[in-house]
Amino acid sequence: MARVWNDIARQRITRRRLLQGAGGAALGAASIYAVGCGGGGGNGGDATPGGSPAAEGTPKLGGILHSRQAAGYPSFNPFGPGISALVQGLFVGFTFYDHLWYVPTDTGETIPFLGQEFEVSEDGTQITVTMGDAVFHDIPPVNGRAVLASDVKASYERFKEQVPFGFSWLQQILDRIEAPDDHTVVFHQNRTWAWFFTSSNAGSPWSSSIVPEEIVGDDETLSTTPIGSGRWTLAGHDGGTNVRLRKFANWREQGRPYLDGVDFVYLPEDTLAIANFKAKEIDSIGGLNRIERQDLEDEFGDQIETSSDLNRDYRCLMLKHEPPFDDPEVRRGINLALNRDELRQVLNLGDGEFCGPLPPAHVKYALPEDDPDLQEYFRFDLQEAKEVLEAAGFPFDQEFTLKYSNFGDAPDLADVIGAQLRAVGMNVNLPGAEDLTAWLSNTLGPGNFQMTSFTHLPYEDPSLPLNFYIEPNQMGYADAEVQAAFDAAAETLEEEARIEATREAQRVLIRKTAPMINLFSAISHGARWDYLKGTIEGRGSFGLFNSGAWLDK
Amino acid sequence: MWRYALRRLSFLPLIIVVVSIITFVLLRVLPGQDPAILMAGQNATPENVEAIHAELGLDRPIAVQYFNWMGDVLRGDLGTTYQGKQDILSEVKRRFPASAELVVLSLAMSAVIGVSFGVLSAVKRNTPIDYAVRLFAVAGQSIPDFFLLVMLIVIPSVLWNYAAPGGGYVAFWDDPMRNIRMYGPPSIVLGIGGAAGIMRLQRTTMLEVMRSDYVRTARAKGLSSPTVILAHAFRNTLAPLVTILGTSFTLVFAGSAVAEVILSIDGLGVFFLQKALQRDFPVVQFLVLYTATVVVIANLIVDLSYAWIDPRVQYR
Repeated sequence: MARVWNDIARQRITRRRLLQGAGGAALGAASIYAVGCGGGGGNGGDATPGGSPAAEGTPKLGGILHSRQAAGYPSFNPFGPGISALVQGLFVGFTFYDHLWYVPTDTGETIPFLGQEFEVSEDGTQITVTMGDAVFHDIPPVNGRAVLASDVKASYERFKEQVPFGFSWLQQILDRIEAPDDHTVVFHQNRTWAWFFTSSNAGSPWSSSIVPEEIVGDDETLSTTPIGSGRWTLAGHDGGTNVRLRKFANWREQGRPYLDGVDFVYLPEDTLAIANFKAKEIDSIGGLNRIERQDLEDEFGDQIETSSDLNRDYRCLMLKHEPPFDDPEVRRGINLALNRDELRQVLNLGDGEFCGPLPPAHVKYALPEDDPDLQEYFRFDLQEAKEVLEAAGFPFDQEFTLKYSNFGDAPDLADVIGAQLRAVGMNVNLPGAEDLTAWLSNTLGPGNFQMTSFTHLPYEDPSLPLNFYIEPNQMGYADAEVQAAFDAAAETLEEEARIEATREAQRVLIRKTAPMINLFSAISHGARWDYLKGTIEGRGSFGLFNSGAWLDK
Repeated sequence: MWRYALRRLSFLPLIIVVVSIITFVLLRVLPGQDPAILMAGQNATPENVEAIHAELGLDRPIAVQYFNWMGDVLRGDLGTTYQGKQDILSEVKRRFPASAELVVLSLAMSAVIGVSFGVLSAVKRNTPIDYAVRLFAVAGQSIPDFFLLVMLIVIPSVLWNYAAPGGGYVAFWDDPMRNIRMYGPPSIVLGIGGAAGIMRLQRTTMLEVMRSDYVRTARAKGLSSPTVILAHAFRNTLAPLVTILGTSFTLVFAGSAVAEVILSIDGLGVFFLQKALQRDFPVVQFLVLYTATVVVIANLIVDLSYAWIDPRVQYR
């Protein structure tokens, strides 16, 4: 979920604004470039599975990477408040703070960070982690002391206590956490939860940031002076913009990062960002659409490297589970009326893949493209849609409101969905875009809608997209069969069996046409100047942790 | 004149109070404006929201909130932003130079372009130069600033792969070239928009003055054309010019916020926009107050300048 919101705002101004404010900024912050900084893809494009930067010669040490910052950070406090936690929490999670592990979406394999050994109890409820050695930044009051298990415990406990968004693992699954000695952390879950390694950081490096115990409750310090054990320290900023990072010399991975630092340039507007990339004021750019990428390739040829990324985020139409949308046949009719191909064409120049209950970037767990159930889910047939709705007694004379935010292309998404539903005879009213924060707090959060359309965050935890169908949810949807299928996947520790259980859960959701109808995941593009090397591309957020980027100039 | 100025200034507190009360009340009574709901996040309970209300003092009567806030402002304490708890005064100080430079430069551009082209157009009346200037004026008034500002990004990028440097504010004396690259082009664009009106007015006024007896006398005395135009005619066109400059100031002030957004200049206009969307009451309240004060003072300066321009003007 590195680029949270990344593709929410895909390809239009705000896309980069919030995301790069968060992950996007982190993008560069991590000095990673990560083409696809727009999207957070897991597997698509010309990704390099395995994650090793391409062999590009011997890395040169030093230099400052110039990267885009698309949004300012109100503070550097990973705990919030409110939505700002999501924005700045990701940025600080990628830069100043370290984590115990990370699980790239494409491989699904746990990569140890500060955690070195992991022992899972037989019933999957207890996970014991042995930590390696690391020190915090040399800033008072922490003054470069060693990172201890008690810091991990204190950090998770505060994240659990203060979760502004619906990451249920922290609230519902994590029972308690213990630190029996300085290097051992024990997580206790209140039930078997096979998704532990992805859920425990909310599918992102945000709520797994390790904060020193002495400041974990000190919001004032956290807001202004990030003190972590991550590879970057904060050198300066202009009120949360133009953030300047410098290498942490005592980072646990000695010799890394290769760069001396990253200077962010505050460029919220896309056009200006592209102009700055062309002028070499910044070294890389993400979140391009296909035409923008092609233009750059045509103009600069071999001087730049480009790539693409299938995003983990996905667009959806969410229906309130009340009449008439509590009728599965009505939902099936609506799904048949949704032309995903047209949506993909209008919103992303045709770039993207249709999305079932689990986004296609979760390669390991998503239903394969040729799955018959998935093919049926994607089928568009306006005539049949009309017949199904008529047979279900759909009230065509009743007006239904489709709510949406002003974020990114959400108004366009709602506009196209509205037109498609009107084509089937539904009386759909679009009341006008709500401000994003207002939409989150007043509409989506409390479930105050009949229909709402939006782009989901690029979750890196495969359980999260499925969890939206589990009680409690904003739709008010509850189904015992869905719950059972979800639980079966969550409780299956053996991976191959869990993959099959997860796919079965998706088939159940498809058969019931559950009231969140997923549409498509976009593909985004990026470019970097050829002197920026050692980047990891096409692997979504994993690239943000790459400390091997270097400048060959 | 000083008595007049003081009398005008004495109205300032009244204007500020009225503007602040209107702003204060509107922010609180308009639907969908509760910042606590936005701050509490997606999973907030009514208790969470109430706790934030209490923390921000939004649970008190509006009158109490107003007097508390105004008291703090008068003591120089602008408070902190709701989101992020940034010190508002520090933020305003940090962002002020960028916004101020943009406004001052733009206004200067408006005046220089508008006056010089207006005079030229009048002097070269009914020549191709006059037609060209008038066409330029009409175009300047017709094309919206935001379009020109976008072109300011696109055209140099497409033609020369050039982009104005981003990043924080750099003062002219710290790095003159960077400062000019950052603020020169947008000032010209905003200046052109403001110059169009000035140009047309200057031309009309100048033509009128050029037909005056004293100008004819000056010519009859054998004075050179530049002397007649600059020393005799031009000074008598200044009064209406200053009036329209006052209006231009307000336009440029508003236009600078658009320029800040489009060109990623981290100034007060962007700050206002961001915080207005976040329902950050203290920031919005202060910036509305600040804008009202600046506009009132600018208008006062315009009024006072009449006496300097025309000694016949008396202030009572």
